[in-house]
Parts: sequence; structure tokens; C-alpha cells
Amino acid sequence: MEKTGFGRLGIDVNVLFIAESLWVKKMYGMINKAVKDMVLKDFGASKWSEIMQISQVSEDSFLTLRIYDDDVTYSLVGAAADVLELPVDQVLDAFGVHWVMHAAPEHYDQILIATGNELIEFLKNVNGLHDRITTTFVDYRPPWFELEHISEKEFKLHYHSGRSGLSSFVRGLIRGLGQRFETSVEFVDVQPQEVASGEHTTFHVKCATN
Amino acid sequence: MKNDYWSWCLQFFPMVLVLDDNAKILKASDAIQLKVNQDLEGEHLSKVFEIVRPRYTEKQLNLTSLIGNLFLMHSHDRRIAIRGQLVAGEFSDQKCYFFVGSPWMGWLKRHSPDTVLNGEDFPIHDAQLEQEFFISTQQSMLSDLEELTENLKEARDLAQQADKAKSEFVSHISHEMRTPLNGVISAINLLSEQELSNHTADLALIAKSSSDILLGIINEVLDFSRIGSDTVSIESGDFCPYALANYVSRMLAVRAEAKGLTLLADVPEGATTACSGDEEKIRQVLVNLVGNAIKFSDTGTVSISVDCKSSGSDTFSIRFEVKDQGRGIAESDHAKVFDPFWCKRTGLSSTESSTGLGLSICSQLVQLMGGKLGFSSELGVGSTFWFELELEGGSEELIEITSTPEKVSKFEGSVLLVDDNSVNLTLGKLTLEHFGLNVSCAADGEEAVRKASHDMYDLILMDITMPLLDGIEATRQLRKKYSQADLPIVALTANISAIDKGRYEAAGMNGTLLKPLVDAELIAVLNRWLGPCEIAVNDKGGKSPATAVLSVSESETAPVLDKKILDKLIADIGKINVKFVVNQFFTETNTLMHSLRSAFNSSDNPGVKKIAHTLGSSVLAFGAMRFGSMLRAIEQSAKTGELSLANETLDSIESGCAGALAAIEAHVRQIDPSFDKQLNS
Repeated sequence: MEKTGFGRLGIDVNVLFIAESLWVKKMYGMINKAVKDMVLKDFGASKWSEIMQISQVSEDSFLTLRIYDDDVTYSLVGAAADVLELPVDQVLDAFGVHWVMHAAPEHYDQILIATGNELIEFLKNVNGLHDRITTTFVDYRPPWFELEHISEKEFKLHYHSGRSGLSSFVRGLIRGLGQRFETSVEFVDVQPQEVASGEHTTFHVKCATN
Repeated sequence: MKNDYWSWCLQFFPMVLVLDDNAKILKASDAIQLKVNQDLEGEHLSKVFEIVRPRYTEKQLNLTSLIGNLFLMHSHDRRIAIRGQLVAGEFSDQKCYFFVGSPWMGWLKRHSPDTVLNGEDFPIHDAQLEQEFFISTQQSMLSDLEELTENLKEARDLAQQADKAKSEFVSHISHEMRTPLNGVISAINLLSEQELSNHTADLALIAKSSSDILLGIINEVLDFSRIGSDTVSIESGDFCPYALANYVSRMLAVRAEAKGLTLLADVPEGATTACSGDEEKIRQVLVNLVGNAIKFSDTGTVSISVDCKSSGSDTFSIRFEVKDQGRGIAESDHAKVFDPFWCKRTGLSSTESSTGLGLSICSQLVQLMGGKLGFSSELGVGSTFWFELELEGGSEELIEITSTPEKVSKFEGSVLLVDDNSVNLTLGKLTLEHFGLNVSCAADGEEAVRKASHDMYDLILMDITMPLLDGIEATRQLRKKYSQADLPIVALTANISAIDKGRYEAAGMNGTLLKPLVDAELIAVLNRWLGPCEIAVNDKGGKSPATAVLSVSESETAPVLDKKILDKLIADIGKINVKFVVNQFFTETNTLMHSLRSAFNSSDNPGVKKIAHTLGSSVLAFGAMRFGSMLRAIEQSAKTGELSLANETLDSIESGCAGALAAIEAHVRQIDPSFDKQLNS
């Protein structure tokens, strides 16, 4: 898809992965807010009320820059899985797509635009964007990505994080990027790697521009 | 080496222009060239770009002088905007200037949002992307706060609506509860006047006490609800604090005496001070504090003191103090005393009750009046509650003497009672007649206006909510004819908010009387507008069928039944209520007759007088003129000690009663053939 410029197209990989970056120990409110937005948008207010009730999270007005305990987010995601009768991994995957398609473009559209025009280019720039974002969110530790180029339509993305359990979310981010750039994405393999701490997952992806 | 400057610049900046002394472009980097749809080489800088900063005045750019300045410029076609600076260098062995920079993101965002920029357009050291991220995040935060504020506003509005609805509900329910309670209290008062067996009298006393407590609870809940919903306003009028203390002391003296307490008003003889304030609310607070002192004392004295000190040219510091020797309050409870629903129930008798709202209401009322309420208390020793107010001076002349709630039980005058509730009307009529008044009734505003236009009345007690014409509109119409001095009209209502009172006053009403009718308040109103009067039996003859007191000779010539009176009563109460009211009358008459016989047989002269009075009022209201006049005559004879307690007299009474009841029953049957006489035990 031809890049359309400021004020229009959506997301960039960079900002997409900010979500995971911020998901360390303490959560910025933008994550919880995005979870809420996703449920409201896709499942309605009554489901969100149920989720709030089950999660026992006391407040549902999340502020972007306020730092919340990560238990809040995990409680929300866990409750969402219960209420929506979906596996947690599927909820995280859906949240990844939502983040790419809706949450990040709402406020970071121009940054996304400046990052790249297509899937692989975005993935290449993820680390660079995280470097820049660290200048604003000084206390978060972004994940690290290595892009292993196989061909123009096939690559392996190595996802390294100090935190475990979020590979499904990253998978959703990649799927969302595919939608964002009208590129079909096929996961040939998603392979967790043995690491002493945190997580290293390799996503073997085949892609093709629609 | 000759291209060193160019290569170095490109390593640090994506957008580079080489300019000669005249600002002609010698070379442009691809990043610029791609964005500007023309060949830049050979063009003058100002022909391609509009330079926003730095400002320059010379027609020809003096580039040397602009080295070190921040350059902000955009292409004339507005496809690209650049921010950067000039540095001196060499290009092709000539001295020249290098413009080095990157996209001017702020300008493009605003003026050329379709321009596509890529990550490589921004050198690593360029913080515009971070700045953009930061600004976007702040905007997101701002959006969150705006959304949160809107949510809070909506929640607040909803809460206020709910609170208002709750207040309206409480007010409505209170009104609905007052109306039947009016009937209960009036009926119990009338019942208590009857000769009752000890057991029945005990039950009546319990019913009276319970209904008084219920009325008190309803009033407190209503007050609390109104204060909470900010519908209470402070009014101003002239009054004397000393007189007020005396009034409250006398008003509650009976209650204190009943518990074996002494209630004293420590007021200097003849002391007066004219103040301007909300006398009604100050009285309410004082009554509550004294009432509590009585309630929570078992022995000793309760004293009320007033201290008025001049605090300015025309202002006074007023301090009311209520001291008791009662149970006191434990220090651990001191902080909770003014909390809503706090109450120390320990030791309250079955006839006492507390919602725990009284002191909270007092505290809020005093606050509304700009004053302070406080206390000192020691468990087992007693309490002293006080409140202080700063009040302006009032007019001595305008002070309405706060009347002593004397036990005036007789009044003179004619009263028009207006109420669409037939039971209220009947009971109210009987109550007023019990006070010796000549009472006419009207069931709606139209009838009230019609009657008041035709007949002269000394006072109208006007219900507010009625069909056809409500009390406010009826008052407006009557005020066109009669002034407030000529014809006092007192609102008879369960609604007593400041707004309601304002509406009543604006319509021309003289005051408000709260339903259900409480003797003390009714007496105060009658006292004010009619003046007390000891009825002399012979003086009242012929004034009104219902209150007529006939001479003994008249008792022989008066008709057994004045059908007009009975018809009017039936019309007043409505045919639907005839069966109930007439049977109730028969039952009461039988009971009273039984008591009268007992009094005769035991030569109980005072008893005969009392029963004859009660029974006389009742039968005259039903038009039994001969029997009524007979009873009045007996009452008078008993009063003067001339009554013969011979059997003949009793026989005459029995005969008169039987004749009256038979005539009433026959007439009622004519009106309602289905009428079935039923005497309840």
C-alpha cells in the first residue's frame, strides 16, 4: 500500500511494540485503557462491566501516563478471558491487533507514519523507535528485536524480552501490522527459545502484499 | 578532499544545500530534491523557499551574518519545510555555505499533513520524533483527563438527580404519611376526650404517644432531607430572644413535669431585646436541645439561659444555653454527637424515641444561620448545649409577642375549614368545634371563595392541594376582596418548605399550619388570629347550630333533628363516607351514654359535665338540636352545681338520645337506603 502521509494511515511497528515495552513490572495506564477500549469496541459495555466485576479492579478510568501495578492489567486480561470464554493467549493476540489498528494510531499516528511504509521496513525500525521512545519514558525497558531476512516474503523475527508471557501479544501485533499494511501474514512457526530469564520467541513469518 | 564538507554534512543531516555568497543553490541532497518537484541547482534560495526565520531586511541575503541562526523555511509549493542552520565551508574549491537540517515537523503537521516522511529523514540527534511522541502522549493524557472529567460530571449530575429524586420521594412520602396521620392524631385526640375504660384509656395513651413519636420522626426526616437538598432558606423577622426562651420553657414544662424534672428559663424579669433573625429555626433548635435535655434526664433541673450582648452599633451576640443534670455523654462519644443518626438510646423509655437526626439538624440549622453550636458534657453529671448567633437589631414595635402556649381551650369566632379530604374535614370540624368555634366547611377552593364571598368569617384554614381551585388561587381571589387584616387565611398543609411558604405568603396567606393538626400549634394559630375566649354558655346561644348552646327552655322547643345541618354534614363528608362516619357517631354516642349513666349513678358531677359537653358537641354537629340543647343545659347545670341527678333527668336524657339517634338514622336511610346501623364495640 502506498504510504498516505500525516494525518491518515495508521500504525507503525515501533509504537506497536511500545505496548510490550511498557509492560514491565509497572504498567502505564495507556495499556489498561487500550484493553478497556478493545472490550468496549468489540464486545460492548456489559461485558466490560462483567470483566471489571470479576477482575476486582476498583477503577476503570485509566490515565495514559499514570503508572499502575501490572497486576491490574493481568487481572483485566484474565477476567476478559473468563468473561469472553477465550484462552488468555487469544485475548492477548486480539489485544495486539487492537493496539496496532486502533490504540496506537489514535495518538501516535504521525510517528508511525515516519517509521516505515511496509511490514518489514517497520520491523527493521522497531529498535530505533524504542530508542527514541526511551527518551520520553525513561524508566521502561523495551524488548529487542532481530530481523532475520530470509527472502522478500519471508523472515524470522526474534523477540527478546525481560518479561515472559507476552509472545501472544507480539504475535497479535504482527498480525495487526499485516492488516495495517494490507499484507497477508502467515506464521510458519512460533518457537519459544530456551532462555535463563525473560523470553525469546522466534516468529517465522511468510508475508505477501495483498 | 575537495568534497569533504559535503560528505561530512550528509553523514549528520539528510537535508543539505550548498549555497554561494548570493544564496544561489549549487547542490541539493536527494532528501530535499525528492521532496521539491524541481531541479534546485542554480536556483536562488529565496525563489524556492520562503524563509520564516531568521528575519532579514536586506533584499539580498547576507549569509555570513546569518551563520549560527536557526533557519526555518518551507518551499513555496508547501511540499516540504526544513529546519536547520548555515555553516561555512568549501565546495569545488570555493568558499561557500552549507545549509544542513531535517524536516520541520511542526510546520508540516499543520500545513502539509499529506507530506510523507520516513525515519531516515530524521537524523539520530534530531529530537523532533521524541518531541512528537511526548506531545502526543501529553495530548492523550489530556484527553484522558477530559474524558474523566466528563465522566465525573455525568456521575455528579446523576447523583444530584438521584439525590433530588430521593428528596422529592421523601418529601412526597412524608406528605402522604402526614395526611392519614392527621386523621389518626385527630381521632385519637377526640377519642381521648371520651369517657374510656382504664384499659381503653391505656391503649389510647399508647396510640397517642406512638403517633406523636411517628410525627416527630417524619418531621425530622423531612427536615434532614430538606437541609441536605439545600431547599432550606433563612428568613428574617423581628423577635425577642428572652421571650422565645420563656415560650419554649412553658411549651415543654408539661413534658418536664411528667418526668419529675424542673424546667427553668433563666430570663431576667422584663428583659427584652429586639433582634432580627429566623425565629422559627432558632425556636426549632432550642426546642430540640431542651427536648433532648428532658429526654436524657431522670432527675434534677433543666435550665434555659439567654445572653444578649451588643456586639456593634446594631448587632447582638446571642447565646442560648440549655443545661441539664442528666445522663451526660461519654467523652469517647463527643466527636460523634452531631453526626447524623448518632444517638445514645440507653435508658430511653418505650414512649421516647430518637432518630439521631435532631442534633445534626440543629447543627446544620445553626450553621445556615452563620452561628456556632457546641456542648460540654460529663457522663453521669450532665450536659450543657449552647449555640451562638450574631444577629442584627430588630424593631421593638414589630416584635410579635411570642405567645405563651396557654391552655386556652375555648375560642370565639367563625372559621371556614377548607379541605378536599372528607375525613380531615369532618375531624377538623369536630376539633375546631371542640374549641368552641363556629365551623363551616368547603371541599375545594371554589366553594371556599363562594362561601367567603357570601358569609363573613373570622378565619379561613385553607388546604393547598384541592381540585377545581387550589388553596393558593382561592386565596388570591379572596384577597381581591378582603385584606389580610380583614380575613386571615392560614395555609393548612403538609408542605412547609421555605419555597412553599413563600408561595403561600405571595398569594396573600397570613401563615401556615402544619398537618396533621397538633393541638399546641392549632391553639397558637387560633390564639393569634381569633384571640382566646372563655365561653359563657348563655352568650353563645343561636350563633351556630353546631356550637349552639341553647337554654333549658330551648331544649324543649328545638327540633329533634335539624335536617339541614345533617344534610350539610353529609354533603361535607361525602355520601360515600356516611355509613362509616354515622356508625362511628352512633358507637361513640352509645359509649358516651354508657359513661353518662355511670356518672349519674355515681353522682359524679364533674364527670357528667365533661361527658355532656363532649356528647353535646358531637350530637349538635349531626343536627340533633333538641338532644344537644338538653346536654348543653345539663352541662351548664353541672357547672353551676344545679344539676339534678335524679332518675327522671337521666330518663329524659335517655329518651332524648333515643329520639335523636332514631331521627338521624331515619334521615340517613332516606339518603342512603342501604345504610345499616352497626355499633362497634
